[in-house]
Amino acid sequence: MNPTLPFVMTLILQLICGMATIGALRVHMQRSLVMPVALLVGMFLHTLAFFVCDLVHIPLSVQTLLICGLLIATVPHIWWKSVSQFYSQLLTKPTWTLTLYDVVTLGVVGYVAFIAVWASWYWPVTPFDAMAGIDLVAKQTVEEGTIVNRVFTDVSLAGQLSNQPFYAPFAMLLQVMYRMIGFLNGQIWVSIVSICLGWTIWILLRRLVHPFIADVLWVLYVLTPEMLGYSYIVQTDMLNAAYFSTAALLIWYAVANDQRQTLWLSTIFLAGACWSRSESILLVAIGVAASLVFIAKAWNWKTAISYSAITGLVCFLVFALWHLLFFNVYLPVHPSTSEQLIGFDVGRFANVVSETFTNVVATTGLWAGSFLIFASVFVINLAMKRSIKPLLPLVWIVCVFVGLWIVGTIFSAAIVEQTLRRGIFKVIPLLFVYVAGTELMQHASRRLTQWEAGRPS
Amino acid sequence: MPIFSLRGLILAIIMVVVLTLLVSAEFGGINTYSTAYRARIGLYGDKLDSLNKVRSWKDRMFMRHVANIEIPTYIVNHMRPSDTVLLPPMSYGNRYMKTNAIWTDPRIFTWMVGFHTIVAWNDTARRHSANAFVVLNENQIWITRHGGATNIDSLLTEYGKGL
Repeated sequence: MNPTLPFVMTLILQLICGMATIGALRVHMQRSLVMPVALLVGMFLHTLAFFVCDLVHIPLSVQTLLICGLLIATVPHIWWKSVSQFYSQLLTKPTWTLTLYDVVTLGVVGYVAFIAVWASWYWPVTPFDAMAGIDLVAKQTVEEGTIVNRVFTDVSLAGQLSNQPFYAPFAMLLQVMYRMIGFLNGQIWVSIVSICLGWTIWILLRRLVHPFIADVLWVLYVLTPEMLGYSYIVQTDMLNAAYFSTAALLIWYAVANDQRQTLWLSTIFLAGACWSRSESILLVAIGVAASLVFIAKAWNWKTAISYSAITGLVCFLVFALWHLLFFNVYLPVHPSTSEQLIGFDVGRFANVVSETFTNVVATTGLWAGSFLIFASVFVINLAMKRSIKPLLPLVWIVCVFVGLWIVGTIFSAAIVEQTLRRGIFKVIPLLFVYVAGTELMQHASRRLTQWEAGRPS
Repeated sequence: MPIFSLRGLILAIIMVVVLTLLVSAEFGGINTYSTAYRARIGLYGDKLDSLNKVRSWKDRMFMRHVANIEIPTYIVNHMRPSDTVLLPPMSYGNRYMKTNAIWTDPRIFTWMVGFHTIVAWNDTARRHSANAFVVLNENQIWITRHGGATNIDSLLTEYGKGL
């Protein structure tokens, strides 16, 4: 089947769904940010609706996929007044112009994006975890039209499934969708997600600092070796990074710009994070708890508590849909998660923390200069400006590490060099946005703006 | 910000220098941006035309998975309807392969070639039901059965070595 038409239709429906959802939530968002954020929202809600079809025993097919897409694109339009206002803002005359160095940067990053899209389209799935898990389930789901398929019942795989087929279902569902659309490898969504994340980061960086500095930081982010590799390799982690880090940045955006409605958009992204990696529920709990003070300070404690309660509930429901309802009611076999819980041990925790730094963070082959730039800017900023602001992105960075250390300590299957390494993906965008938000960079940005405009400093 | 200005042009030139250094100057391996770019993007960029000439899905699978797709394909093409094939342990496969013999994992085997009557080496409850066995040597692969030229007990001992 030629994938072009269903692919374009799927993307358009997801985009409309995302834009209408943002409109319905009455979020005021910079227009250049709308497209990537809306597409990510649409992708998440689409997979959720697609999954519900399986729960109610509607066979999964391209028709189901498109009808689901139509449904999720239609429903937010119930709040037509808000949505139409949002649409009219999108249609106003653009004011944004590109400079020459933007064009140079976009040329290089555009080429990287082109190769990423090509590679995700061209190559078959290669990671062991994906072949033994999400893509194995996806391939069979396409064959049988249901997720409760032979992978979980065939005698040849009985007792052999381990954890991989039970991973949080977001990536698996996207594999099912894209395979059904007609892509032989499915995984082209990986590059779409990484482009959306990269685009979001670029726009946020440009809001914070002079476009030249933003462009340099953006290129450093895009060329971070692990992020570059996983921009076309199917795994759950880039997907998780896109939702988790965008959520954290949206919370900061909401607090910094007094935009309460944006908080609710972050709830959707946090739910998307829990839909893509199981341990995110713990990280979300820690991050939201740590954000309470900031939200209360920006508005009041009532808002902070209602936000955390609703976000907690939504994330738990999304988590429970797969891990509790689907596992216990639909699947004939279950993962051996409880056997892997080994309890908390201070010695092991210390070991996990130490290994994280020595074997993962310090490995420049994985992150190139990302952590070095972050650490340098942090120290210089502290020494020169006596400041560690912006605090909220920093808090989320710390929360991710603490959460991953806990996961690495209490789960025997969580290996520092594998599980935690890929869990750190969501920290990388936050590192660069943090760097851009520091007083040191703000100062450099002001100086550069004055110099470029030809004004004396 | 003006679209074009002299200072903007200077910044654009600086940007070109920064980008060139990032993606092409290795500085004796210190610049991991460059090595990562070359391995993950530059390599494909250089070979895009020749890679795009490989249009067959099976060829692309083989280019990526080599023996890990070749061996399962051989096995299913030579299986008899009554066969239940015992997949050897990975350590046995690794002795004859340059890459990890991940095809010995029943999930990977199934991902590669679909569902067939196979038994995983570590499935001790069902292992006795296997009646066909995979034999590897330096350049060959075949399936052996009870009563064939290969001594099954010796083969199973061979399987178990190095576990």
